[in-house]
Amino acid sequence: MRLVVERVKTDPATRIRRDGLAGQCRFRDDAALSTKRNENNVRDIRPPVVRSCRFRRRVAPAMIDKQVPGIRAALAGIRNGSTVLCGGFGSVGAPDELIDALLEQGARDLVIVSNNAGVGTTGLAALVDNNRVRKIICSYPRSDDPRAFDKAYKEGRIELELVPQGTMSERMRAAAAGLGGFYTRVSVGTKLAAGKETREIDGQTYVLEMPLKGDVALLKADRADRWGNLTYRKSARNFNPVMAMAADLSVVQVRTMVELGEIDPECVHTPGIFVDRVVVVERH
Amino acid sequence: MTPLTRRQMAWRAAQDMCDCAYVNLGIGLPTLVSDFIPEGREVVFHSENGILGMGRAPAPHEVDRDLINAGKGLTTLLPGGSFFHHNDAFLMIRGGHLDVALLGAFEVAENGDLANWTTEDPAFPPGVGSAMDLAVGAKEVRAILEHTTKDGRPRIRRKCSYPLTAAACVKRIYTNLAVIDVTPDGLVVREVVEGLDFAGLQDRTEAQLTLANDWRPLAAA
Repeated sequence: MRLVVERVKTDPATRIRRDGLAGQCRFRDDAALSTKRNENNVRDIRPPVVRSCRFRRRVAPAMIDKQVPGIRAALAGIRNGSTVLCGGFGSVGAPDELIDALLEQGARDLVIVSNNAGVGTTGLAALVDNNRVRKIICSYPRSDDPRAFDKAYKEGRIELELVPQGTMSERMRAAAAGLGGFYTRVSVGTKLAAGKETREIDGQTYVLEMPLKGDVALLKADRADRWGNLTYRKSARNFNPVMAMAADLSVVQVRTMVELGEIDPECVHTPGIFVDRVVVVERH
Repeated sequence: MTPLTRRQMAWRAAQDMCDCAYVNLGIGLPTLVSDFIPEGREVVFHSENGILGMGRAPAPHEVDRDLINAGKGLTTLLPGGSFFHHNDAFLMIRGGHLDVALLGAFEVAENGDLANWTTEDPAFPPGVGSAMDLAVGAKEVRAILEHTTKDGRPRIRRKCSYPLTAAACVKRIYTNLAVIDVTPDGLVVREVVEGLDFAGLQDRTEAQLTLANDWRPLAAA
């Protein structure tokens, strides 16, 4: 028997449940699956038998601790085909070490949401260069040194969805806020609004934009506590707060961990409810 | 006739920034404008990556790699400045909270249509950044561009030949030859560079121009 952790509901890295239900896990009988054959002696590929049971002991730790021991644990469970929100504006506030580790982790066929499409040869650029990215949703692919994206684009290895920058961040906010989309005047009458629903409001034309949700967000912050409260530095805040809110699983690399209460509650930039895993990366 | 240099164009655009204005400068040529705000005028610069009160480029001892402007260049923060996240930065833009956006342009049409995000050159993937947000959101949009392309083709046109960023949004155009207002009656020339007469300016412009009665020479420091 193998423990199958339902995606997101219990984070395997921190063992913190996101749905508030204590102690319910699911088991799957892999042995039974592997021996079952049909009449033609072909392995039965029906969905595995899943049954629920209730743990006697607590699964969730008594203490909330979102810090994970290393960068590999921080990325556990990220699957092929995931939509990954990547914080940062150019290289500032970008979680380069997390993205480098995602390259090593091996997930492919990714949809990346990021303002730019990678700088130089590291981080997002390396992910693009190694053909891990099927599609990029961004406002400005060609920023500082876009050689990796340019090459992939010219060779037809990557799909580009160009979105006005404010529309991109607001689409993620809509997903985070449980909204079904929003109307904006931005892009009305342009090629970027082609095929989109429009509506007259107070005599002005607006275009409907849909929510943009991530399976995972990879983020960078300055400080965190074990509850996942975050602060950022200067213009490195940028997309990180909205992406933390808009993904099922938010993973943050931070410069340093501090004790609970050390971040002035008046100055918490991202409240811990939006954060699932924190890993310290000292080389910032 | 001596066309203005890029720095002189930036100087001219800077003279029109009102005291107490909240201003967004687009990337490229508009960024130079912050160097020429007249002494004693308090203008608050907004940057799309979450800054109000942006200052000049840093001296070597002031460099902070977490503090950049929209063009990804290093910058500084003035006393009174603030940082915020992207949604607030674009709420300020879209919600009409900025007094002026000064944007670079490929082309401007006689009705104020702006084209500045793609030339549809297949060799260069397009980038829109904040151009569409600024063009519809700021209280006043001004464009700054060379009057013609390098091979002499007019960039102030009856209709833009490149895809639009936004329709009928530009109110004032600064070029290396003239300052032109977009009015309900068409394009009105306020200033022309010395040594160029109105006919010469019209020759270099596809759209129909009108010379303002109180026009004056385009001076630049």
